[in-house]
Amino acid sequence: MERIGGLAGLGTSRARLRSHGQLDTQSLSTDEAQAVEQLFKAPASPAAPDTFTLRLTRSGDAGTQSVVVPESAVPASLLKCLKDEWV
Amino acid sequence: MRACVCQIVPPDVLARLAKDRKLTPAQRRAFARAAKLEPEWRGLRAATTRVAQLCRDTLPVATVAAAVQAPVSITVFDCEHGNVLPGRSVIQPYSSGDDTARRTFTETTEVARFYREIFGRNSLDGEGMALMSSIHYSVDYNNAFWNGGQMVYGDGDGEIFLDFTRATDVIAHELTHGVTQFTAGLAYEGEAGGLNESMSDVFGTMFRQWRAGQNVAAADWLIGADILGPGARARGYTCLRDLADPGADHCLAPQPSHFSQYRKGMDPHESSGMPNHAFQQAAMALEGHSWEIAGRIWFQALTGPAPSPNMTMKLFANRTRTAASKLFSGRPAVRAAVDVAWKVVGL
Repeated sequence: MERIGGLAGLGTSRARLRSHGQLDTQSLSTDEAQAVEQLFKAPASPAAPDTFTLRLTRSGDAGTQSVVVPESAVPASLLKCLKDEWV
Repeated sequence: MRACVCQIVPPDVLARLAKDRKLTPAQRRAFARAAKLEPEWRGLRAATTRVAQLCRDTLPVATVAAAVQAPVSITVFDCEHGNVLPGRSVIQPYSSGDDTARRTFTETTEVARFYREIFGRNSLDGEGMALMSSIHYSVDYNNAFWNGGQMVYGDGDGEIFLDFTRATDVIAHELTHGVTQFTAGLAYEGEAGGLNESMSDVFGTMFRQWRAGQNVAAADWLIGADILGPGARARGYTCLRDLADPGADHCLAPQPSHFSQYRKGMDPHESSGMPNHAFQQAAMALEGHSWEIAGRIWFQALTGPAPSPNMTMKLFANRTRTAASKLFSGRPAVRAAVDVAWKVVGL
């Protein structure tokens, strides 16, 4: 998971700060897993100004898949794995 | 949990929460109510935006001018570190013991006064729209945003970022997203997205200078200088962005400063560098206070007739050239300064 945008413009090519994290989808609760599955099936509508979007990438037997969704669409419990890091 | 209208959480999430057995029955009922109201709220927001745009284009000038006299209602809500908007209403925020609440109320009031006194605009929609802000959003949240209907401010983590309400330019930046929504209606992607972000930086830095009574020579032209925490400053960063030198090393998010560096798919916070620098160049050439000449020209280009949501930067540049000629018809040097400023950034 990687945060993009926000007032500070995270994730831009020159940004000095990035916010990212990863987790094992096997550790998700049933509700969380369903919510994540839904995000990959039907990405939510575009984000409003200065809100964060999240680039979600998952890897498995079926290959690698990415979507970009508004942060507000992602279960709050999953966001805890995100850490800000200097580039 | 108190009843609320959730304005940012998507409908499917609200519906899921309404059935979540881990929540109390009262909480589930609140989310169910919010889920039911959410589409109506979104529809109302779109309709309000459209009505404001139609009023701008069709109402007699005298009618619009009369509306400018109406006072603007300003409210502050406290999310108490939760993620549900708008949060608990702060009673009498102007005298609150919470510095963040008091500051948010004061500076939001000042932004409304700035738009009214300098540009003759009555709130964000030109019709006296109430200004709602939510503070203490989430935990250590490193962001502030405009969600289409209100402002939202995080406290920062205290290391990289401080409380986002500490920066007057940040508050004006978020409010200006509302002005853009109700006027040019710029999209938030492509060149229009960069223009959208630039409008917020331009009017944000202009407001910061106005609050400080600074002329263009005294201004530092930095965005977000007052919210950078000790961890960021220890690494030499002094701002998010710099309108005078968009690519500088002291920026947390350096930007391109010439249109030849524009690439499709750029984040709006990156592509705003070119129009940001053009405004700074024009304001410096015109001297004095940024809001007196350059500001009026940019405001006219943003709010004037026949805007396009997908406006290109070149088109916006030409709108400022036209506005400079019309507003300052007896001073050709003004139009010339604006022209040179855009040529500096390749437009």
